[in-house]
Amino acid sequence: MARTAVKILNLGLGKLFDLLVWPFRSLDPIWALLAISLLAGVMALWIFGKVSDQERIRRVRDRIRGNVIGIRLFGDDIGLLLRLQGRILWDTLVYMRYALVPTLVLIVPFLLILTQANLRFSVRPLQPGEATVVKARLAEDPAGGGAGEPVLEVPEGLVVETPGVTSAELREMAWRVRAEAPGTYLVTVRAGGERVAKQIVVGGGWGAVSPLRTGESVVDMLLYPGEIPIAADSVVRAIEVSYPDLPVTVFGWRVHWLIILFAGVIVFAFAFRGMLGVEI
Amino acid sequence: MASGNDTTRSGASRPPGIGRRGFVKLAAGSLGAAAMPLPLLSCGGPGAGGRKVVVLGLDGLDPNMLRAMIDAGRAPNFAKLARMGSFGRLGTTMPALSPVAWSSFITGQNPGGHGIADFIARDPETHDPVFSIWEPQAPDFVLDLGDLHLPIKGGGPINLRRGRPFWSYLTDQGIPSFVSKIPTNYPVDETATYAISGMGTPDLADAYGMFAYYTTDEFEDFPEVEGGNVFYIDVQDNVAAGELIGPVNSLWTPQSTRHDPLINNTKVPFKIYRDPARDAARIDIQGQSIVLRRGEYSDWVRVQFTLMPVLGEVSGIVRFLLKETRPHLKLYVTPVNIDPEHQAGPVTYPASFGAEIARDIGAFWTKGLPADTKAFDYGIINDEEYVKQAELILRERMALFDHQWARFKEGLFYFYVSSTDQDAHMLWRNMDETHPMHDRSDLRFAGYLKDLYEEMDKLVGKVLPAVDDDTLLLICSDHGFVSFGRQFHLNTWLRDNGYLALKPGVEKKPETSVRDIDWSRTVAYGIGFNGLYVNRKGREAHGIVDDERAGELVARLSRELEGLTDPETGQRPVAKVYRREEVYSGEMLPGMPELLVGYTPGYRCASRSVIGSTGDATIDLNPWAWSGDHSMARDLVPGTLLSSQPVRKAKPNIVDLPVSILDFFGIERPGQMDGTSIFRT
Repeated sequence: MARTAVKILNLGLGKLFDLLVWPFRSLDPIWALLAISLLAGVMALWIFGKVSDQERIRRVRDRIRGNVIGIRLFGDDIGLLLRLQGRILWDTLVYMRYALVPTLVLIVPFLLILTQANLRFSVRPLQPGEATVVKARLAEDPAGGGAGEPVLEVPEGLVVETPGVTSAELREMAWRVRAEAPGTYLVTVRAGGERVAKQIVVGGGWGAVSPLRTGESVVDMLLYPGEIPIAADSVVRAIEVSYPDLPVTVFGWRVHWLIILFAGVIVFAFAFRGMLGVEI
Repeated sequence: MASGNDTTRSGASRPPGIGRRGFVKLAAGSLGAAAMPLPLLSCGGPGAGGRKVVVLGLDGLDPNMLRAMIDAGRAPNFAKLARMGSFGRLGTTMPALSPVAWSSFITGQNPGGHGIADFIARDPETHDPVFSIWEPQAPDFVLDLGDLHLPIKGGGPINLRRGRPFWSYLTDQGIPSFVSKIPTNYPVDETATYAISGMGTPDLADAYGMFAYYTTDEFEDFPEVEGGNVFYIDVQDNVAAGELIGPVNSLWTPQSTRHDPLINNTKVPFKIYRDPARDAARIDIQGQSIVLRRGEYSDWVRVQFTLMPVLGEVSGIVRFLLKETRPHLKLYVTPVNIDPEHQAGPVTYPASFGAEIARDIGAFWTKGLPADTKAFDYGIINDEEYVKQAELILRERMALFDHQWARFKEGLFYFYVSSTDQDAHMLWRNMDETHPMHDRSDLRFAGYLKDLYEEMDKLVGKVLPAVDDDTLLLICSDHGFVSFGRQFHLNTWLRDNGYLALKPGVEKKPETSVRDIDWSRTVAYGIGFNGLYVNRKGREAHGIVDDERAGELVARLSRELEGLTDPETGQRPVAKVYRREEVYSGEMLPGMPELLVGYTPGYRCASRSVIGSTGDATIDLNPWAWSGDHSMARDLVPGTLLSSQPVRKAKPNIVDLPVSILDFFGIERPGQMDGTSIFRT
């Protein structure tokens, strides 16, 4: 039941994010990130306003503001200064208590936003000529011989350059694959009579790129929403493709996409708080 | 107009070395600081007016070999260019060494002016051999926090070449220039519009490049290996672990290296998963996996070395070569090159230029001399593995050419190729049937050098269509190439003839260093490939020869060296000994070696003698794969010059080329330059 719900959620969110970033697909990824930040900031602000006790927050913020002014006015009275600072500290803790519930509520949508953003902004597609390593994690030692030697099948446009290298310690088999032409491909790991496919994206600047197709646990499904999970009883537990990092730059400075997203959310939330009448 | 006394110290105002650069960049939270686009140099001059000069600097391109290739019909584009303009020999510097000759090309000065007289110079205070191209400078201000030392201001590498680069005169006139990989341009000069540093650029761990070799074969023995580290590793259940050696962590107080010479180096652990059945292996390092078949080099792998958690990391790039999986696991790793995308040292100008190239064509060798000649010399890699590396280097260089050539509109386009030099050094014996070690080389690669010349011909073919009245094409080399079959131990000869004395008790050592020399009894010593210094009073810290005696001494040394005969061959190892006053002028003259020993083709100074050592034999067989050379008498190893416009000067010299290029752009010869235009009689 939970798995089905997560599947539907991932599918819906995936489509929604595809739609959101679609207008920016030919631009630098920073613009799509800012657009997501804007929507996420406004959404967070609205949720915060709905689930928080706005009146109490307003009161405690007013008290803090008043005590800060008191510190400026009575800076020469050490006793009073310490008392005011104590009150500010206490009120800050009170504020944090009031903000706790909305923050917990916000974790859920933000987790979903982050997994979708991670899918699009952490790595970039391979470019023709670039090589990657495809790793299949198996239920048992691939060299054990029980289920026969795993085989990687690739379509035209990709080339397998090495035999599969086994690792008993990791229960993995790894191949080097080189991209030859742009496209979205499905490679297949054949093991123990099963065939498990994994997407490889070649060409284009940025977009939804899933480095890992993994099992059916709810957590895995939430964290890796890019592809349908592998059946829990499969001999192939996961297939991983190494992609290069997507460089996201701000005025020529390379910045992690997560920093841009959070900074954007904070800036947009503050910018819209007056319009939405939300006290934060 | 600059005077001849101008000094280029292109690193002086730079951020300092690896430790501080890494620290400051990361402390600022910005790997992208280096990638900030900088404005193009523009000085408001008249510009190039549509004129273009294309220079292909093909290091070591030999005129005799090229002539033979043209005659054999294997270099049609070179032939076409020769018909169009000129093809001939190009006079070079003494010594005919790349840092020396290319410095003359850059500045238009002789070595007495630009100050580079060899790869190796010596510190007159200690007599220790030192690198002649650049030196590190300590930071001006360091914040000491116990064992932690944070460089705050100053420091970093300083280029030791003096004199203004000729392209800076173009910049003054608003003429754009692209200068790729020219030797002695580290730290990269900032007076070109775009530049990439060349020969002399260090790797992350060491100035000359330190490879790493991991083996499970305990019987492999490399007792005196130089230029790299050999690690003996264990394999259990087909898994082995190793550590990649990075730069010395200069942020922390160094620990004693008595028990572990690498204790102060940063390290990155990695694991090797061997699959003997499939003759392949997987290497896992810092979350990256690399899969290789036996005999394959990997693509570039980026590795981060931590100087200080969170705040101080430097980025390097390496290639792995899986040499063997069974019965032994053997893995070679190239020296850790400076990452062009996140530069720990100044390898491109602007820094964003390196990142742009890497994004477009991938990471590239930034180490000045890319091919790992030491690993080949010491048998860590064999002929085939060297050739594979050489092919990768050439392919990468040609991709760089294509990338930049497509963007070239006007001004200067200087493009340097190292393969014609390094591969001739290392694969000469494979080609040359008269070389004493020819039979011990892998004859499958006997034709490699000629194939390489064909590749250069294809490169010329890409440029030729652009040549017209407003576009000058020059192809030049700094020297030619000849065989190097026998080595002359200059310092041993000096010792045996009473010019160099060792301290008591060290005579029994099979090999000595400069530290073993008794300076109170030594009148002359060799440092560098051709340099012979008089232990001069007032110049050397322990000098004993006064000016009056020096004249008589150099005359005697010249006479005796030129009169030498190799008893085994009957040949004279030394063709000509040059007095410095014959070939140098300028303010750097007093510090230069008094004599420059010009060897006969077939002979060269022994490698150990280059750094001041003495040994047993005076002349013996050259045992190294390094079997072609050019540190001979300069007239016996001239460079090559091809020009799309007729050369009118009778005996063109490399020092004439910068004047000629400026002349083509209508810029008068600067006062610092020695040469004259090759296009004028």
